[in-house]
Amino acid sequence: MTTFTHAAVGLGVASFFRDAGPPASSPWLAVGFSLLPDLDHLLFLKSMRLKVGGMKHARTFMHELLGTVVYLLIGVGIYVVDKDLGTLFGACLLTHLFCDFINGYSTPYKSIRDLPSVDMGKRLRTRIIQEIALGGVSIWLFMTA
Amino acid sequence: MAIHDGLTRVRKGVADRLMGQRRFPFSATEVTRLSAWSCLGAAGAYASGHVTWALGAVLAALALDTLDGVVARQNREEAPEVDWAADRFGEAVLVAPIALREAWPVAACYAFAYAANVFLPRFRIPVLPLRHAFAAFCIYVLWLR
Repeated sequence: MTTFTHAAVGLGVASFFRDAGPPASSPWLAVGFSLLPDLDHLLFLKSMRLKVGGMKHARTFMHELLGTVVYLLIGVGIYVVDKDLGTLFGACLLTHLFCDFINGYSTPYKSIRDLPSVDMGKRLRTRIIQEIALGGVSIWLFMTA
Repeated sequence: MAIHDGLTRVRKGVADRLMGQRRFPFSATEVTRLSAWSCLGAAGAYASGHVTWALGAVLAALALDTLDGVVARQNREEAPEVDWAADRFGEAVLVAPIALREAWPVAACYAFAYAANVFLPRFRIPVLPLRHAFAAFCIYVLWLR
């Protein structure tokens, strides 16, 4: 999904942490966590193209199922120190990876099993609808919750 | 393992008997996609304290998971990796709501089971039915706690 949608989803996740104490109640922190997994695209800066499907190769295992486990472990570590912050971290990171899986090209079991890649984003129309719907619901949650 | 395989075979047989004769105007991937979105809906509902909606959404996800198998067999869409990966990502988004709303032992059990589920197929061990467990836990929260 696009950076804008991930940022919007971060705001949506933040709406569930309104009652948490600082720093977990900060929506900007949630947005930061939501954008964090995309840092692995920086490794592919030279070969990325700004077009649909131009970034499908620009994913490390941290964008796949193994990444969910690694981020989960980091979240558990933070949870031990600060429950709300660890939960916010897990919510933002795992939702990001879920969104990228459901809306594009991935190799889910990269570095775990030899399995073919999966393309959940073959239809551009479906991708656009998913982006708009998720982004819209997230912003609505942030504004109203 | 034999019980698990037997139950899966029975479930597939019943689903094929009930729905196998119909023609579906959609692909198995679309049903899998809806199932994954239902999991995200369940996560959102549980995080906001709407356990009944969370239960409904996760039951819908499980029903759609059965339907996608029927559609895949009917359309001869052999892509089990899509189904497996969508199931794992769907389970992943349920970690944070449980951590947010429940005591740490419950969250720790679910997180550990999820991490195990990612690796179990690597060793040809059947995955744990985490969405079923989540549905059962919702029932416990609603009527037994």
